[in-house]
Amino acid sequence: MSHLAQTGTAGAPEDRFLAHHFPDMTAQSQTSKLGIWLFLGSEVLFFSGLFVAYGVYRANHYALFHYAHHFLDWRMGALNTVVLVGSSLSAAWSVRCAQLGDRRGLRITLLLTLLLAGMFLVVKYFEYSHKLHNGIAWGAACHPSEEILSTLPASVRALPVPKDLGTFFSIYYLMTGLHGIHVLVGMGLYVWLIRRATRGDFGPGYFVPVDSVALYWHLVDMIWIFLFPLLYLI
Amino acid sequence: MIRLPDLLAGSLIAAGPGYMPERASSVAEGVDQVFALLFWMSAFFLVVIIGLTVLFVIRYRARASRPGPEASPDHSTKLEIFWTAIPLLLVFVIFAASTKVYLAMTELEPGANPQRVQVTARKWSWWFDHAGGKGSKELHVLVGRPVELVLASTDVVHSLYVPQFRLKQDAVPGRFTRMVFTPTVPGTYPILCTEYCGTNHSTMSAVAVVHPDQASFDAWAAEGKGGEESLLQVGVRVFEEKGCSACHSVDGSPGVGPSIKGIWGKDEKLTDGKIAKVDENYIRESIVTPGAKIVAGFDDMMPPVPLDDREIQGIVAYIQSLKEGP
Amino acid sequence: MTTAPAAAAEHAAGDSYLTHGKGIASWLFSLDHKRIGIMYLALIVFSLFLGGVFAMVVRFHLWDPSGGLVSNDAYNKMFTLHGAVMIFLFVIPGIPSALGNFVVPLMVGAKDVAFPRVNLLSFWLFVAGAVLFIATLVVGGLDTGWTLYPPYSLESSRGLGILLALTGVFLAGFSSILTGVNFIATIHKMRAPGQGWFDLPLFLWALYATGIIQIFATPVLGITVALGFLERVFHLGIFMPEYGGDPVLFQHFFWFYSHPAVYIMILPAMGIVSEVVAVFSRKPIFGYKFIAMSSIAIALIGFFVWGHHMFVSGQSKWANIIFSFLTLLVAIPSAIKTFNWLATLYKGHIILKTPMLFVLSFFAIFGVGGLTGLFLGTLATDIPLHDTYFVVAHFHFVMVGAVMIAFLAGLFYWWPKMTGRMYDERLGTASAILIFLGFNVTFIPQFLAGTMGMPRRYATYAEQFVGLNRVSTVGAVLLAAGLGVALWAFVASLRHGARAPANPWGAATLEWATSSPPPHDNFAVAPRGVPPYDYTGLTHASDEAGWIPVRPEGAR
Repeated sequence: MSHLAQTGTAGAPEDRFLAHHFPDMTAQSQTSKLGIWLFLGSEVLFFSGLFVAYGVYRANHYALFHYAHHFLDWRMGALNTVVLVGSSLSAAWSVRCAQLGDRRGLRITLLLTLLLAGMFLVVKYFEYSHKLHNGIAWGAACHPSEEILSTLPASVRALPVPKDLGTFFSIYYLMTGLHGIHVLVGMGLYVWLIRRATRGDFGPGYFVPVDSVALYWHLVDMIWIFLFPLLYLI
Repeated sequence: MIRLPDLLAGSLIAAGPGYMPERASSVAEGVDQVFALLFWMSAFFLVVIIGLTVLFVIRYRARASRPGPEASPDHSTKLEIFWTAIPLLLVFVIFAASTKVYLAMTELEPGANPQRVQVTARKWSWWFDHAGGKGSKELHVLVGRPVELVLASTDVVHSLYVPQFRLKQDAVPGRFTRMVFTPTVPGTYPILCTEYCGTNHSTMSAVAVVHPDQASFDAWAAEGKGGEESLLQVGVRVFEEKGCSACHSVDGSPGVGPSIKGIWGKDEKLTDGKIAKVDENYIRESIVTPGAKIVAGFDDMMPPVPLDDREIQGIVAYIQSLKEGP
Repeated sequence: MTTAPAAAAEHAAGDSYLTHGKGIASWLFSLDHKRIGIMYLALIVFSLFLGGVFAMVVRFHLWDPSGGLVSNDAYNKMFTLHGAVMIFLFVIPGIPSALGNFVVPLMVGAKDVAFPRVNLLSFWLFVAGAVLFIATLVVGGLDTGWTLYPPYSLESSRGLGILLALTGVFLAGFSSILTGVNFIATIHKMRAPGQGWFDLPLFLWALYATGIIQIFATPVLGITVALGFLERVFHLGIFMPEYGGDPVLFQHFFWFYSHPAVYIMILPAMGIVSEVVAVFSRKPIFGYKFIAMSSIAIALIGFFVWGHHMFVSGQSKWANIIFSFLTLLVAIPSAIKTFNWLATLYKGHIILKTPMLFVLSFFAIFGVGGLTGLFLGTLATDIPLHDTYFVVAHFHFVMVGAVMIAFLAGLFYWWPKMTGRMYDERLGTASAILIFLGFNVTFIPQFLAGTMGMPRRYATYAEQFVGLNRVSTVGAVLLAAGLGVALWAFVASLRHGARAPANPWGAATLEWATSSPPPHDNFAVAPRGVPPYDYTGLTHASDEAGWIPVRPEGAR
C-alpha cells in the first residue's frame, strides 16, 4: 500500500476517482461541494425544528427552564465545547494537509479529529449516566434523587421541584441526543477517511471527501456551539 | 333603509351560490358577501381561461389550411405587468373585504355583555355549561344576545361547527379557545364536529337552540334545574377542598397569594414587568404551572395543583362570579 | 408491417439503456438515472393503483348516508391510507422522482445526475418507506388521517401501525431530500456547454424550485415525525398535552412542511405543462422568464403560508390575518403562469395529441383548483369552509386534477423516449376524455356538499347530501375507467406499439436529440445547449422518422 502511494504521484493519479459522467476533476469537485452544502442546508432545517421547540417551551415554561439548567454541569459542557472546537480545528487542518499533499499530516489530523470526537462522546456518556442514575430522565419519568438535589445552589434548592421538570430534560435529551448521533456518524466518516488516507487516495488533485466531511464536521460543531449556552448557561 | 351595496350584494348571492345554508348569525351575511365576491371573481376568470382555451384550440388548430404557426411575439413585458398587476390588485381587494368581516367574527361589539357558555368536547359528544349554571347536551342561546363560547377538550382535538352561523372553532386539549357570535334567527341548528376524532367522528353532533325571547330561554333554564352540580358549584367546592382559600381570599384582601376577587378580565402586572390578562388560559396556567407567571408583589411558592378540566372550568366560573362588587 | 420495426429493433437493441446489462440485479442496483426513473415509475404506478382501490372503497361506502360498506373504523382506515399512500407515495414523488429522474440529465445533455449513488440510495429509501406503509396495512391499518394530528395519532392505546407509518414518512422524506439535492446540483453544474440558465427547459426551472422546497422543508417533516415517534414511545411531553406537550406545535411543524409539499407536487406539474403546451402549439413558450421566475416565487412564498391550515386552531387572529395575506399572494405567480400558457396557444399550430389533451384539461381543472384556493386562503370564507368537503374538492382539483393529469401528460409525452414505442393515439385520447369527465363528475359535487356544510372524514352523513355523494361515486367509476384505458394504452404500446423515432413530437429540448430509447450514456455525441423552444430548425419527415433537423446548405 505504501509504495502505491509513492508511485501514485506520477501523472494524474486522481483521475481514477473521476466518475464517468463528469468531464474533469474540477467539475466533479465543484459539484460535490455544492451537493454537500445543500445537504448541510437541509441539516440546519432538520435541527431548526428542535430549536423552535426549545424556544416555544422556554417561552411557555420560563421559570422551569431557568430552574432546570442548574442540573447541568456547565464545566462538562465547557470541556466538550473546547474538545469540539479543537476537533474542528484539526478537521480544517486535515483539509490543508490534503491540499498540500502532506500525507503524514493528513493522517495525524484525521486521527486527532476522530479521537477528539470520541472524547466528546465519552464526556457525554458520563453526563448522561450521572443524570439517569440520579433519576433525571425525560418526560414524566423524571424524578431527581435527593443526592442530586443537594448539589444545587442553595437558592435553587429552596424552590419546590417543578412537576414538569421532565419537559426540559425531554428537550435536553432530544437535542443533545440528535447531536450525538451526528457525532457518531461523523466518527464513522473519519474512520473511512483514515482508511482512504492510509491507502494514499488523497492529494492536491483529489481531496473532496476530506473537504466535504470537514464541512459536515464544522456544522456539527456549530450546532453544539448553540446548544451549549442554550441548555447549560441560561 | 336599504343601501345600494347591500342590495347589490344580496342579489349577487342569490344569483350565485344560492345553495348555501340559511344565515342565522350576525356574521353570516358578511361571510356570504365575501363568498359572493370570490365566487363571481372566480367565475369571471374561469370563463376567461376556459373560453380562451376553447377559442384558441378551435381557431388555431392544426389543419390543412394552416401550414404552421403564425408570427406572434414570444414575450410582452406590458402584458406581463398587466396580468401581474390585476391579480395583485384583486388580492388587496379580497384581503380588505375578508379582514373586515373576519375581525367582526372574532370580536363582539365593545361593551357587549355576552352570555358565556363553557363548551366541553370529548369523544364523541358535546357538553355545554351555561352561564345560569345549567349544563346540557344542547347549546341554548337567546336571539339577539351576544354569545361567547369557551371551548375545552378532554381528549383529542375536536372542532365546533354550525353551518348556519358560518362559524367554526377547534377545541384543543390543554388550553381554552373561544368563539363569539350573536344569533339572529330563532330556531334549532346542527352542531357538527369538523376535526377528525376517531370512530364516531361523524356522529359527534348536538344542536344549538336559539330561543325567540327571554321568557322562552328562562323557561328552559328553570326546567329540571338543581339536579346536577353547576360549574360554579364545582368551583366553590374545589376552592375549599383543595385548600386554595388558605392563601387566596375571595373578598379582595391580599393574603400569601393574590385575592381572586375582581381579577377577571383585569391586566395583572407580573414580577418580570410584563402584563398578563386574566382569562381562561391564564387561570389554567396559574393552577397547572403556578411558577410560569408571578403577580408582582408575591412570591413563587404555590405548588402545582393537578385539577381536571371540569374543575378548572369551575374555578374559572367562580372567579368570573366574583367579578362585580362594590 | 412488423418485420421492418423488428429489424430496426435488433439494430437499436445493441445500445439502449434497456439492454445495457441484463438480469434483475442490473436493474435493482443500477446507477443509471434512466433505470432508476423506470423503477420509480413502476412503484409509483403501483401506489396510484393501491391508493385508488382505497378511494373506491371510500366512495362506495359513501353511496349510503349511513355508510353502506364497512364499519366506521374500517372507513377511517380507508381514508387515512388513501391519503397517506396517494400523498407520500404517488403525488409527491410522482413527477420528480419518476419522470424527473429520467429526463433531467437528458435535458442538460449530461450522462447522469450529479450523484448517481445517492440517487440509488434515494430510491431504496423510498422502497423502504413504501414497504413500511404496506406493513402498516398488515398490522391492522392506521386511522389517524394522513395529517397525523396528536393527541389522537399518538394515544397510548395505539399499536405498531403509527410507528411504522411515521418511520415510513421519515424514510420517504429522506429520499425526497436526496432527490432534491441531486437535481439542484445537476442543474447547477452539469449543463451542456452553451446552455445558459435561460436556455433551460421550464421543466427544469420547476424542478429547481421543487428542489429548494425538498431540501429546506422536508427536514422539518423529518424532525416532526421523529419527535412523534419518540413521543409515542418515551412520552417526552412535546406534542401530547397529557405529558405537558403542545398539540398545536405539531400542527405548525407539520404544515411548515406539508404546505410547501403542495408546491413540491404542483410545480413539476406546471413544468410539464410548460413543455407540452409549447411543443404542441409549435411556437416558443410565451413569457419564458416570467414562467421560470414565478416557479421560484411560488417556492419561496410557499414557505410562509403554512398557518392557513390552522385558521380555526385558536392561533392569534393577527397571525391568521398575516398568513391569509401571504397565502393570497400565491395567486399572483399562479395567474402569471396560466396567462402565459394561454398566450402560448395564441396563433399557434395546435396539435391535439394525447399529452396536449391532458394539458388542455389541466388549464380548466387547475383554474378551478387555484381559484377555489382563494376561498380557503381568505379568512372570512375559510372559517365556514375549513375541514368541509369544499376543502376535499379543492385539494383533489389541485393534487389529482392538476398533478395527476400533468403526470399523465408527461408520461404520454416521454413514453416514446422511455420505452422506444409509440402508444395508440385513439386509446390515449379516450383516456384523456374519460379522465376529464370522470374527474369533474367526482369532485364538482363535493364543492357543493362542502359549501352546504358537509364536514370531511365523515363515515356517515346527513340525508340531504345523498344525491351529491352518489353523483360523486359514479364519477369515481368513470375516473377509474379512464385510468384503466390509460394503462391499457401503455401496456398495449409495449406489446404492439410502433417504433418511436428519436423525436416524435418535434420538440427542441435536448432529451429528443438522442435515440428513443437513449443509449446507456445518453448521447452518442455530447450535445451543446440550444434554445429549448425554437422549433424553426425542425421539420416533420414522416411518422416513422419523426422530426428531423433542417440543415440548409451552407448552414453551420
